Amino acid sequence: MSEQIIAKEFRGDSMVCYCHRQSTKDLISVFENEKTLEGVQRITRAGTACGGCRIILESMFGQPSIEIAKLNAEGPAGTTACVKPGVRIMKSLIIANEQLESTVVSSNAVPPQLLDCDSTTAVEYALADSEGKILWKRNKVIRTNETFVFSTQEEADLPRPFHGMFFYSLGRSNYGASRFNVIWSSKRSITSTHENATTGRPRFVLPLLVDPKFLKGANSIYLGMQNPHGKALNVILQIFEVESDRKVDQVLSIPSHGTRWIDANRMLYAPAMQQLGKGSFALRVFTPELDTHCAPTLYFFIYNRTLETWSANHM
Amino acid sequence: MKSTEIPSKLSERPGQRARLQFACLFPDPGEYATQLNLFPGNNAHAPWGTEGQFQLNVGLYSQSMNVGNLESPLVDASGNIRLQLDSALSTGSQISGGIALIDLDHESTIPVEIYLSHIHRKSQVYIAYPALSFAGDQLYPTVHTHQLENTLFWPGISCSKEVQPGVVVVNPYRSIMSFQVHLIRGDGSREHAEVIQIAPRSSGIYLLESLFPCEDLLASSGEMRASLCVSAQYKLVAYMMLRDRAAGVITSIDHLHTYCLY
Repeated sequence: MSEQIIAKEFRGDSMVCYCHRQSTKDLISVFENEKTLEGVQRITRAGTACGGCRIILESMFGQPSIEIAKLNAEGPAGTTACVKPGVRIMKSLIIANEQLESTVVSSNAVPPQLLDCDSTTAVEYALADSEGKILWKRNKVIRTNETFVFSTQEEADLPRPFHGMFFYSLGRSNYGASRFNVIWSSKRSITSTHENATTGRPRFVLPLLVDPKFLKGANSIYLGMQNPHGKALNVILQIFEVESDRKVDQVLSIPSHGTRWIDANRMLYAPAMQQLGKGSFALRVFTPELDTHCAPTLYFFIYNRTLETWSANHM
Repeated sequence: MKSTEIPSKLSERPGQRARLQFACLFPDPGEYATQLNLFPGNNAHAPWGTEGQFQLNVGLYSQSMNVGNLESPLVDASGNIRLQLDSALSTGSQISGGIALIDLDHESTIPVEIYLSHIHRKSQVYIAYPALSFAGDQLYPTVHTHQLENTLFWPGISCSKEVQPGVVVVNPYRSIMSFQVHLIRGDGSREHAEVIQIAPRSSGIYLLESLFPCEDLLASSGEMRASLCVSAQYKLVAYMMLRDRAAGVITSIDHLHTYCLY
């Protein structure tokens, strides 16, 4: 039935609701049972946080989006914005080199409103090296309110320098927190951000502008680029001048679940600016297929040499 | 209460226009340059669409007062919007910081995110992170409360002799809000700070050491690492901030997120 209703361009697995992490596949799966967009939204909460995807939901299902004020506060049994039963694998960047060490933290805390719910959960976690080779898999049961911690500093056998992918898989049927943060620390600085979803953007521009003054200044940009998919990716790294779109391309091959650590000042911006001359430049990252199944994930780091501090975030 | 104050400048195409609203910190412009940098073509591909117009309107607020406004040009999916927030302040302004409320109008079904940057003028420490959205001025008490949209979370607090953690809470609404910060220690025990009131359209930077025992935070490393939760009446906007103790400079910011999405 859904095949007849759902616009064909939305069949796939693109992320629709970034607030509640609902992909087209998730939403269509719920629609199979619910038959209405309102029903889908009551269960998934899609379109009820920032509201930015409501117009997409309407295009997708050809029905009006639910008024937020009409949402049933309780929702269906066992499903709230806090938890949706199911198994998910989350991934992130792990660094252990001469500059940074990594710590993964996931707290199995129950939200304060839910008081003493049991949130005991089994997790499987694994580490892959830069070529995507799985080094090990481990299992752990995390009790209610317990904190999961993985630290590269505790891993004596880890080959160094190390740049790789951390996998965190959990089957959730209760009310604990599920997400994790990665903390990267140097001798005198700390920075942190959260894990990446497995779907992403097949084309994006890093929100940093670089000019000759930047290159001579106090900051260096490093990139941790990963391929979260099951097949190898050829990623185009394109430095372009913002005003004119003059550009220089480099191709980066990343094996399945592989990671590349890039000194962007030295390897991308400086050579491109030598070729293109003065101006204000940005980095566009894309895969030729322009399909969300071929989207790389990117963590960006800015190192300040004056204070020896790091800041990180991701696309 | 109207959620849309400034009429959209985008062309009239019913069903093909949307507005997103974001709130973020606007630190002391004497110390930090703050920029918004938007490449709306980031999501201009199938299945979302490849064409559309985009425009930003920014209101700056300090201590609940509107102190400046900015309007971006209209751009298409191949364009770039850059706004220097302090350019909206009048010359000689003594504003020591506040918040920015951002309306993003976009046509078509292309989802858009906004990254902002703070650059410390003296040291050139440069941080960039995505702004967090909120659902506009309209408040939905039942939904916010029962669906836990009023509860934001940050697993893994970082604290050291060099690095000082803080939480930035932004109240983007026209009403006074209150919130509470909870520390969840690595052993599962909890500490609750006092409830804090926050004025309309304002923000606060709360160093965690002023809310919780310093020893607890410094001890939160290894297996005992603590986490943070911010709960409020409605969906507030909150960011985790790390500051270099010696220089007093903000070195890292990222938004808190909802407890659990899967």
